[in-house]
Amino acid sequence: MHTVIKTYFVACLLCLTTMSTTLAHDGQENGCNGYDREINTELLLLSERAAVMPTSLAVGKSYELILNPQSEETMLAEPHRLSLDDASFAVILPLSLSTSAKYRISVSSESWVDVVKRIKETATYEVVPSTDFSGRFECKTLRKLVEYDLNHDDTYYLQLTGSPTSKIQIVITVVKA
Amino acid sequence: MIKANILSPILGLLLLGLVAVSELFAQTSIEPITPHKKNSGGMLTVQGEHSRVLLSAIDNLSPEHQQKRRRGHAFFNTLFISGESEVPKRQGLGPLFNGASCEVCHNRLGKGQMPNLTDTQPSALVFQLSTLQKNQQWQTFHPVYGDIFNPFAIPGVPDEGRIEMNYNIIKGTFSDGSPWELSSPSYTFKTLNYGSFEDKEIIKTAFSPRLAQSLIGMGLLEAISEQDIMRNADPDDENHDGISGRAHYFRHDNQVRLGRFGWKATHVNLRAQITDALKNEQGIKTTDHPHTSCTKQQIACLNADLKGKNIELTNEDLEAILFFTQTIPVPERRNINDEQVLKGEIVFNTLACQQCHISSFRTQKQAGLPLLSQQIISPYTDLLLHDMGEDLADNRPVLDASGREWRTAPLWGIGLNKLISGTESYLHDGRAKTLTQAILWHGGEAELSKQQFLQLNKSNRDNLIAFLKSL
Repeated sequence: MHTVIKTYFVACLLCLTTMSTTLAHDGQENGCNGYDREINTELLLLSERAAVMPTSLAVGKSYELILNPQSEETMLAEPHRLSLDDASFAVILPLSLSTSAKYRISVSSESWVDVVKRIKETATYEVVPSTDFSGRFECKTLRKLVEYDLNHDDTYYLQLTGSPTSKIQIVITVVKA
Repeated sequence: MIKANILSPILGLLLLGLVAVSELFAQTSIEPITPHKKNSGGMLTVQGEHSRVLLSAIDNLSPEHQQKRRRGHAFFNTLFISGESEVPKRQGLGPLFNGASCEVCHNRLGKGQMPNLTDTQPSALVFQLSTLQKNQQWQTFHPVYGDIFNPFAIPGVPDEGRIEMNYNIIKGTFSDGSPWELSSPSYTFKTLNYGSFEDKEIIKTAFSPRLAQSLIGMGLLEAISEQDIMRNADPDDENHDGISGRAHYFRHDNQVRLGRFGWKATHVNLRAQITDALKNEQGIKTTDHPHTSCTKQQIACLNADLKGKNIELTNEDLEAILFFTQTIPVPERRNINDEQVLKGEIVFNTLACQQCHISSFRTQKQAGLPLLSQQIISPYTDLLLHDMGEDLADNRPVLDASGREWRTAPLWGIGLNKLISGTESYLHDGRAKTLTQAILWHGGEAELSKQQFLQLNKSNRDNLIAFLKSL
């Protein structure tokens, strides 16, 4: 029995290693090797079957978001980059975070990423400054990633704007220290 | 290459007259700068010392102008796309291009970021092309690669190739023994997808790297009268000060016009600058440039272009971008009453930097735009061409500007470059990583000033840099 489990475990490990290596290789072939940081986890998640249009965004899952015409969306806060309301798509969704950490939001295609925080005292919203970002026009799987320091006891929303397409794939990951 | 240890005898004699430069500065009384000097852009000055200062809201505009500005800003940020799209307004990118939006190169409206060419291709560093024809005439165009080398292309069209950049380190010392170091760039074009640069019709191909400039106060520079610019011109150096600023006149729309924008003042106004960039760097056709930037030899590019629209940005939208660019503000000066800054201004003037980096103009009246009208501004440029010496020469004449001539770069906002753009990169190709390096690259008409800078002690060098960082 033990031998069977061991064999199964080794096979799974080999399979994962191969998958990871293949993804890394695919990432390079897709022009993703220009990133100056480790993005294999994000590439792996973005290659998985994505859940379509959730009600909130959790960490470590791949989502396909359906965006609305930007002119029809009411922004929680002024996006940090202005974009054409009549030639863009946008979406706003709450983030579901269980720990305070540095989070990375990775998107598959062009769009402006803002994380908006709800200020309890005033019931207003403000854009959270990002701590870092990177992007590769030539990377077909992962166009851009933005990083934020977020507290799990605050309420945050993802506000995507300026997208030229009405569908976009997204993953949220925790950045390892 | 800078010949750091070789001074001409004349310069040597002149420098002898500058003995004890520090003592001279020590004896000079320091008057506080009058408050108006803080507002380098007049009414179009904005406060703040942060990366988004140039994105600050502009007051004193009518609601219509605010709306137009907002529209222009949104277009400025817009990434254009190729092929079929859910948003036709954004179609038109390429087929060949350097960046998909204005903002890609002018990040937060500041200077472009220098690429790391080992793993990515440049957007903000554009390579302009020229060819020497068999009739010994220069043409600012390559028969196969066009006006500009485009390292990016839409799917299905080969890009023009890759560029590799290397630096040669040059070392020297100031007169007080402190070392300095400069990086001299060299470039190699690789994987040329449309064949070699060689062509039977041309003797040689030249290129000139150009880093995207900061857009600070562009509308105010446009509002300076030609007469005021000409007042500082001295093409034959009649005052024998060794500085001979020359206005760049050339034919534009069948008229002889004064150029004032671009690294060699090759654009007569902002509209010309913007529409040229849209055409050559983004592949966007406008009413001013309704034709493709693909050359006849670039068949895949031409075929892809045929699928696109005739005009990819309407005149109304172009006007909005133009208006936004004209109203990009100027950051307020900082620390202007710091002793170091005040002393640095004296060094700046003593080294005759202000001869070309002119600190004061009054703009002309601009109909309907009080923000740009009759403003006293401090751009620290004369908008004239100067011979900057062999070390900075790109050996590529453009219109009437020689390979050694460059337009005096405006210095307003230069102290916020790093905050706004994230990196420090100065001069036309971003080779200087510090203000000290930028000064050390000066030559030609500025050679004497540079030699005087080399003679300064550390304290006065620091004062000068503190002054520049206050701009």
